[in-house]
Amino acid sequence: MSTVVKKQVAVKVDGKDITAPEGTVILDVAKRNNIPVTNLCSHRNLKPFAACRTCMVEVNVNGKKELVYSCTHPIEEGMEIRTNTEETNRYNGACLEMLLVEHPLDCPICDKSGVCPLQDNTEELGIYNNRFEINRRNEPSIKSNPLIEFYLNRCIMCGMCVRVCDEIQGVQALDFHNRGMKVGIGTANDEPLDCEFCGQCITVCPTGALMDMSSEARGLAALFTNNESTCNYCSWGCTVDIQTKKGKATRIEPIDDENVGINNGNLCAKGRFGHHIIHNQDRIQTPLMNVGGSFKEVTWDEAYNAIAERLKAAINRGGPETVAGIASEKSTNEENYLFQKLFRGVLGSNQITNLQHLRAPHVNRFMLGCFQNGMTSKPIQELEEADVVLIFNSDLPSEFPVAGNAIRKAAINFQADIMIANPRNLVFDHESRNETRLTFQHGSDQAVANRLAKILIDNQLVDLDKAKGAVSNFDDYVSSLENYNADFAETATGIDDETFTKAATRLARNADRFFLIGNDVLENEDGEDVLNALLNLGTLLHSGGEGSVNIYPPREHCNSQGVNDMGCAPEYLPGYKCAKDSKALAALAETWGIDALNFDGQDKASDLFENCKNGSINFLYIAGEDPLHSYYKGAQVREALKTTPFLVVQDVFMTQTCEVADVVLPAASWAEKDGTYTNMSRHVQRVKRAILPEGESKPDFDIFCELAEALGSPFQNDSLEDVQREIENVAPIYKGLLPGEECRQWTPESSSEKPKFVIGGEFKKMAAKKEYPLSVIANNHMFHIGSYTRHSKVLNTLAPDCKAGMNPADAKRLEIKTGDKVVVESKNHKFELLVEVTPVAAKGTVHIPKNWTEIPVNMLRNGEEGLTSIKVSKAE
Amino acid sequence: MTQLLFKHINVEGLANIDVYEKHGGYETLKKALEQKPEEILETVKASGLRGRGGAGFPTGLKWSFLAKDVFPRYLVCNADESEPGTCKDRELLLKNPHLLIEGMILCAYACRVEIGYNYIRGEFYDLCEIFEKALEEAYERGYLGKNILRSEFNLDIHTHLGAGAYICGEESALLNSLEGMRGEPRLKPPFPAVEGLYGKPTVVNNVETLCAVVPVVEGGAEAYAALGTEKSKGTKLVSVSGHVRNPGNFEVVLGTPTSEIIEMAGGMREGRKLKAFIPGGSSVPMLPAGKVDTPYDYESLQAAGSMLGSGALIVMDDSANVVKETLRIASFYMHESCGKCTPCREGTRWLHQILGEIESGRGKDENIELLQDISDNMSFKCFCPLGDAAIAPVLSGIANFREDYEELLSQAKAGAAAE
Repeated sequence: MSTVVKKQVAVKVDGKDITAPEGTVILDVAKRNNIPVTNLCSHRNLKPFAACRTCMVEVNVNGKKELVYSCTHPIEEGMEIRTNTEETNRYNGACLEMLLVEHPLDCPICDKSGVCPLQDNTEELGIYNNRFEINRRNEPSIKSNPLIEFYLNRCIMCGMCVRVCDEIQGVQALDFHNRGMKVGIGTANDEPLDCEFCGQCITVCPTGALMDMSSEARGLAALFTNNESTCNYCSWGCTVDIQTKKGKATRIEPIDDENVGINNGNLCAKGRFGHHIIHNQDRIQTPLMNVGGSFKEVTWDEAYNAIAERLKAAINRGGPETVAGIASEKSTNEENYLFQKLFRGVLGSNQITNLQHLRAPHVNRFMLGCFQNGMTSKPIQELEEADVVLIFNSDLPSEFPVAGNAIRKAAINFQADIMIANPRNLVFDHESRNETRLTFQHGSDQAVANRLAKILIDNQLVDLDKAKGAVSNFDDYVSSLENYNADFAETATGIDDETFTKAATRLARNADRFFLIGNDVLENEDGEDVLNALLNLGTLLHSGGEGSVNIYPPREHCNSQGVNDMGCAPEYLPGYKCAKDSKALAALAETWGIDALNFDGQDKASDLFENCKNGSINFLYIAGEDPLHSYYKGAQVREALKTTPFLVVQDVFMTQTCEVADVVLPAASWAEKDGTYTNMSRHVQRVKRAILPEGESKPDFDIFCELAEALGSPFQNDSLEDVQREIENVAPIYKGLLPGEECRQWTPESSSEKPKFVIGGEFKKMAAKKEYPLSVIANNHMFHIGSYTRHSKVLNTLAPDCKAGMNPADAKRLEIKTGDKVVVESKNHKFELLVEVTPVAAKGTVHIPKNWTEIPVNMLRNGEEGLTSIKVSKAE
Repeated sequence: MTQLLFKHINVEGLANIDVYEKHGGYETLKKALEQKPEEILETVKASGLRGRGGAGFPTGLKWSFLAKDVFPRYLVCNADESEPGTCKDRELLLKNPHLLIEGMILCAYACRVEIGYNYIRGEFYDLCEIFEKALEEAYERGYLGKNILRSEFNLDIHTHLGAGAYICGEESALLNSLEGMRGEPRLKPPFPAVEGLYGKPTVVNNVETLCAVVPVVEGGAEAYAALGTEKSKGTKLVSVSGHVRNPGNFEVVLGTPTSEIIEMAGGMREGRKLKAFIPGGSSVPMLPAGKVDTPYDYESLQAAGSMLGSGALIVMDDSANVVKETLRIASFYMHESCGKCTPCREGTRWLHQILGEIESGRGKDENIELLQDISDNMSFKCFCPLGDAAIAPVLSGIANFREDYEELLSQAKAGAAAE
């Protein structure tokens, strides 16, 4: 929050001089200065509740003594605070004594044992006797939902579960029941639990009254080994603790500490409960070779030799640039770095890419454009202090659930402006009174961004002279927006100008603005124009407005950012150095100890699958992707893989793409390897090995090193530390950030070029075609990402079926109701699935999660422009 | 005897608007609308009228705390009368709903409020119907709605029935309940005058307080302030219950000796002597017979060791056992604690359990000290005043009638020895 500066107030706590911002409550001041104050119901992420009454302190102001509760009492200038007097201990102890009367004290089998504030406070206050007749509660455990066990005997009514569910998750699935001594927590209205299964309630429960049923392991915290790592699902990059017991990864918990990672102790359903993909019966156990149409188990050496032989043959036949590789958005930086080094340094091919870059090379250009225009963006942790958040075409509750947690905190603390620009009517509850919904017609993203910019300019909401002085082609930009008048914008987007004007006005205020751009903007062919329009809007606010503009590129997977940073794209060497820059190439060759890097200038990887199809690729190595399922042009991929003479696929699970490979290599899962991921806000974070690899699987890192050796050109650096030093050397943006233990953001190198607007494509209204009147919005389901979470039995229980979301109006017209099976048909493909009629779905569109391999949404489209048009009919 | 609120209370059909108007009803409103809102506010301030719900906070001052220039703002009438012993609001709602409506309109005008709510105790279902009928009549006559009596002033009043929780009489819990949330007190500050209903400035006043606004404005501040003592002005409705011949509601000028009020209710039963009385409802300390001449006003009762509270005078004669009566009250608070904060939730339960043990002859000598200690752990340490209310009868009972406790304890000892 840039706009409010709070006065500092000086106080004394237990004799120690401390200054803190005005309005801070005593408990927070004490906690931040490591002065222990007993308490049971306060949590840094929640509003004060003041119910446990165990945080009493003595305060003296101007000689007047008072006993107050530290969780709600703000500090005053000159206040002397004593946290530990006979009186405060007696009164705090009295409440603890009463809480302990009924508490079961079954500590040895309690998950919170050892990290339990009830235990700590009991010890702190020395409550060893109880004057009341012991009357332990002994109600049975409630296991009425798949994941969260309610063992209410242990509940001390701190209300944190209810509050986190409401304030931080915005769901209100939990509530208090009854009153007085009968009070208890339970599901809202005592109905079946209807929630997002984020598990935040389990995190904050201090006493083990709520437990994680995804794991059967129970008991003292000390019996679990903690492994601080980074989640391998979405690109938000939450720090997780993979807890192991007896060599098995048993469960995942967040680290409930604001100074660790970027997630401030929050996790989502996937991150917390999706750990069954680690120990999983579907994992590939050994290398496999396709012999006459069926897979045969082979040794690693056999696999390496076969690959080396075919690689050499391919290069001999068509030259090095006929071998290509697809790096993984889910592999570590170090692995991706070695993968591109294998191709560029060992094989001599620049034909390396990753699926996001292949589909949308403009994402990297957008990011670099933001840097060039001075928007280097704050660490994403500061989203909690945002004044304005623009959630642009992101299905945030599914895409970045934990971002929602941070935004809700900004809503509570700063009444942040929350702007949701999306064709769908997303459910996003929060406590801000300033919400603007920009619900636009599917495919009109560009017009939304441009209309906002035009209002900023026409109404002079930003300092136009300043903007003009700062950005070279300001006048061209202004004239490029000429068409975006109110009528045009309303026709294009369906949003009235009052709403646009309100949003523009709120955007223009002196504020810390955060733009979270969803992967949905890449869905249609106009993704580049949309990103440019947003880049321009940001640039206009940045150059002509007060405050900050923090804008992050859309990234889907845990290392979608890092795979690009590491140079797994034909245009970029590691650290976004130009792959055609001879000086950069020479420096790289020197570091790698090879004579020279000479590429033939062909850019086959830019249209890789097309080049596979037309026979100009002889060998394809896909290291950890399943393009048959996940690449948006499924039909193209199918033909490409069929045509490519030799295909190596390396993965954790036997994917559809593995099925058509010549050699399949079993990769270790994320819990079985060391390295780093870089999240969407460029935070480099550590991935830590928690267990040994399953079966014969190996970390990608080892596979690439061993393959280089098999090819006769072993890497000089083959330990993680050495490779990390090499990366820091080759890509200076990573200097000092590895091994990623500190969770720091990389800073772009300063640009010498003047900021400029990117003036691009004219807005073209995309209309659905007559015979295919509906359009598809496909993205990740709330409980799934990619196809690999489908191997998690827990996540599958939460979301067993792929359901098409349809707007009630469309459903009514087609006489379709929730639970019906329908046929979805495009020009290219058709399939059947279930329907859920929901007001969240936009009129004229059908929302289909893309995680179910049996519902291949990516087969609907085959290279045509515009929206993915379909028709829907009731299945016979 | 000065009667302001009860002046016409027994007039047949007073709840009907014609009868109410015939007895001068809505005349005050007509005159008030000729004045500026600030003038009405000043009158109420100068009259010395204090909140009749229990806390006795100066009404005009409370109104003046409304956050400046923040709109909309709300008026909420607290008709969640549920303090044991109190039944005065009930009589007003039953017999004279238009007086409350007129008072609410005056308050809304003075405070520039355009939406009012009457939060009525859930059990007062029939009274809610009476009030709603009165509202209809008032709308028909143009006392409510748009441009009241052709002025610029608009006011709508809605009713809301509670769901049966004593705690909803606490103003912030009432607001939560009115918003559809769980009836639990809110953290203060912010006070309702700054952030009340739906986060907007809100005046919350008791039924009697709002009714009293009518005579205050009608007769002027000076006339009202002439009644009562130096700091306790005007009249108060007192609900007399317990061991008296004619229990009921009586309107008395503040400062009237408590003994006189007991006499109004017919005095003690034949052959019985006063033992104890609770002057202001179950939430205030009980006093021994010796203090029965204490003038019935805020200050004198406080000086005597109790409080005026909501004006429920509970009388106990020498047939009463204080432990038994205290247990009965403790059972009420245990049932009504919302359960949010530890000392109240757990404390009310232990008070009840231990009192029960003493009362049933299973007490131990150390129980008295334990009761005092639990009470000390609750005193000013609960989230809201319910906890303090719960301990008032316990502590005052032990202080003034320890012999009742000791008798039961010695019986228990004798019983245990005999076994």
